[in-house]
Amino acid sequence: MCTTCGCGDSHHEHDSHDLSLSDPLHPTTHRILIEQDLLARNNAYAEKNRARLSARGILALNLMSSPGSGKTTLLVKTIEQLDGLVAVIEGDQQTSLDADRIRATGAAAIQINTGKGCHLDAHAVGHALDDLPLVDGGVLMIENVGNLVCPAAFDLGEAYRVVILSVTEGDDKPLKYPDIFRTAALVLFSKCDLLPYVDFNVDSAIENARHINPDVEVIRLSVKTGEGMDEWLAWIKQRR
Amino acid sequence: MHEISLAENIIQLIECAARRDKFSVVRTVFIDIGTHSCVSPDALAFCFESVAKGGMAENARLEISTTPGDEMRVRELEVI
Repeated sequence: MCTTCGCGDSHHEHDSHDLSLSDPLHPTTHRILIEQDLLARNNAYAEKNRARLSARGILALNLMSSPGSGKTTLLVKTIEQLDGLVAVIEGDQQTSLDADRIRATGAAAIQINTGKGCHLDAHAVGHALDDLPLVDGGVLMIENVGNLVCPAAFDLGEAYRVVILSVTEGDDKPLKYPDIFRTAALVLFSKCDLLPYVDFNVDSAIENARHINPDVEVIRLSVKTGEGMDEWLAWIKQRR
Repeated sequence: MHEISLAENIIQLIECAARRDKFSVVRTVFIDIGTHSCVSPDALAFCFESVAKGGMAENARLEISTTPGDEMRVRELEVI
């Protein structure tokens, strides 16, 4: 083996090495500058969605949480309070169960099934916007796939991100899953009616969330008892 | 595993560049990943290997540099 270039030909002279395309053993490599963000395509779709929504005065919220935090239940209650204003995009890997629950309230909902995908992306949301009847000046709730990791990387064109953390999950979650908390405008601590039965310390959870994201707002919430619902609705109203 | 989506994005960027710059084989993909980005370099390399199969970037080496901040960017390609 040639010890200079590593090729299998030990007979050639190194002075005669012709590093050109005409020599298949030594094709010329060259560098091409790309300098492009890995999310450039998603971000372009997100900006398009954002422009489309803001042109109609629609407030879009990207709701993110683990599976089972109570996002859909919260949405159902929110829709009841903001009668006729809310449309919903539901993201799940499979089934239209969540969209069915939303539609049962009378609100418009589109289900995006991501299949193997673990998050919504701006392209899929753009297509959902084509088909979703939206009210000018209304609210679009985008319920992301239940996952505290992957949705963080994908801008959907929302105005704000809302993270929902249920008190059955653990108050250290903001430290363990910082990416999702870093870009949130609001953290809702859901299922607060269960606080007497779990070891969740809301003050620690708030401290942990603000350690990651000092400006994040927080609301203690229980859909069951109604705690925090007025605050949540006021938060939405202020931003519409 | 959002790294699969990101790996697919890398392939799209490569295909786009190949149409523009007329190359047919990619040897190395140079990538910058910020420590505050939501990307695991190992998972990205693993996913890239899978999605690159059968294309011009099959067997390409992913050279990932860690940078401060939250960027995730394809910087350069080494191509034939």
